[in-house]
Amino acid sequence: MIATALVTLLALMALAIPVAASMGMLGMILAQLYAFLPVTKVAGEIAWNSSNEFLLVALPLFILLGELLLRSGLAERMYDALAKWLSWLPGGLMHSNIAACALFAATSGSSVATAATVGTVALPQARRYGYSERLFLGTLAAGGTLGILIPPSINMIIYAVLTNTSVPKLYLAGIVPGILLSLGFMVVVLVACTIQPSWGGQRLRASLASCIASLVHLVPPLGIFLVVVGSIYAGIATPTEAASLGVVAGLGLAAANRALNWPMLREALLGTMKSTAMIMFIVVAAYFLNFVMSSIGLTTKLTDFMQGLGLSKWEMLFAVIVFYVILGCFMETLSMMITTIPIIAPVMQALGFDMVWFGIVIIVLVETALITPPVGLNLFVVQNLRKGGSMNDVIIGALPFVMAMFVLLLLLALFPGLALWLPTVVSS
Amino acid sequence: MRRHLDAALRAAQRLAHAGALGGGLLILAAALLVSVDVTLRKLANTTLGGADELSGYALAIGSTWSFAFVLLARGHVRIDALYQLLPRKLAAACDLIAIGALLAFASLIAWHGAGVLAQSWQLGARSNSSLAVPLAVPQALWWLGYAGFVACAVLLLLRAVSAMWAGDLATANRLIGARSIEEEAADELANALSARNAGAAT
Repeated sequence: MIATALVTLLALMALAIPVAASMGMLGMILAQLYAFLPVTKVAGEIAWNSSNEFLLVALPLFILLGELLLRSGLAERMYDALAKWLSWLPGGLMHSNIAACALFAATSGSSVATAATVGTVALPQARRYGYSERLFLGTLAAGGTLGILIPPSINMIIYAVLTNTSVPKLYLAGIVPGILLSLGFMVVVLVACTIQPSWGGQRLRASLASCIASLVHLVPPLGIFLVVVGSIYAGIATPTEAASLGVVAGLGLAAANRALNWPMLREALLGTMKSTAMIMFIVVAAYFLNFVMSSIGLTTKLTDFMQGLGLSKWEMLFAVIVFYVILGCFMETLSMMITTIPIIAPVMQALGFDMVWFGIVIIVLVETALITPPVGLNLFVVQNLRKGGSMNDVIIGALPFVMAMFVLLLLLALFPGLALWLPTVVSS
Repeated sequence: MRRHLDAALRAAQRLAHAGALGGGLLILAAALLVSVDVTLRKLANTTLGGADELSGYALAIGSTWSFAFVLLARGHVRIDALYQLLPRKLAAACDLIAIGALLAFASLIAWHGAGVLAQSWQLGARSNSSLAVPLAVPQALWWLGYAGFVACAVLLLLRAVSAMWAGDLATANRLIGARSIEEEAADELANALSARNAGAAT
């Protein structure tokens, strides 16, 4: 039964059948082959119940917030301010790239949006000041992935829904690893530019007064972060409510920058619904497939099989990490999460791993998937930005940052407190 | 025949666009409603009641109303690692299977979803909350999205088959081909760039 399911799923996906339809078809086929009861009959109920869940409402709201911020002119001003503060370091503007990504990540729940937004602003500077293009591109592709680790995060909401984990805890757990990873990226740049100073480009010097004056441009992103993430921990709002407040704040910010008008809002709404509908169709198909799998006993068989491998706790973690790194090279990240987590998370939980901690590990693995070839969406976003040149430049430029992600995974395994300390402190 | 199909597709496109925009406005309305609710709860210690339930309906309805829009924009994610290596005719066959599979699964949901709707209607079911919404209302709106999606998929399938029959693989690909990851990334950037220009103009 396991083999049939696996081969069918692989065949469907290899034929480039849309992920949602692949999962739905697999559910229909498995029900036909193995179910004693007409389980497909509940497809209607599953579709209705799974699509009006309040926690999932946070998804379109966070996507909409991202679309609004993208159009509000916040990124340029923020980037200029950070450039004044950080570009004296060896590696110059590449540090502002990473810091701008980290700060934008604190308002945005998407890695692709973060890379696209900061990349658009930053890349014109690379040629002007003579940076090593490879490393510069790498900072943008990798920095962008911070979008889903630093809260808010769309992928963490998906994880929370799939595993019944608390979103506020996941958000808190992502903060320290998110800051560490940003610093890790900066260390990579520092080391690279100390060894090879010519990669660093021309450094900019700004007067102290203009540095201080520029701080005002950091207020809007921090304000959005406070509204969205702060309101959750002040006990005022649930994640969905916080996302709603964020949308209102985003509208306000766009209005203050005179960027709010009907064509802008229309584009933002259409962009939001395109992503939302795509995700929701996959979510509905996943609920349906999971229902079929558990009613024919396949879920139990799969978890039994994985536990029957006789791997120890840490061997299993290693196997899971290798599995995701390889899968992440070939699969779009959201589909990867939705198809695999319902199977793997219960096994990890049975082995005694904390589900919040494992969520952070998964998010870092998803970040890796975003910048590993051949299918790493952030690589393509950054490549498209430069109009010309070989894709290999971006791939090679991003590689050192993949190493930083592996170091973070190792640290998370050695010191689970990096993720779990903040949630414990706040809840007690 | 082909001319009628093209006219029907153009109409479908306009409808799908309107549906997605309507869905987006529903989500925006949900954001405003929930925000007012939170503010009232915090400041005035009172609530509107039912904001969470209504925003859930907004999500359900808004997403199905946007399904057809995503289909026409070829936005449903496909794993194309192998597909890209295939000769054009085989890739075209994959495209047909892909839209067929989407159609089959959406039809299954639409069929059984109609059952859910009919049951709510006959029993006069109301939601288990202070609003006691007659469930048939949001369910009917939600179901419409699936019905529209199925209709759209049938149109696309017919038009693509007719194009393939005439040997016009390019048109078929434009209608139901997989978007490459390059196209995906280019879109994301075009979005960021247009936003930037709009910002600079003001």
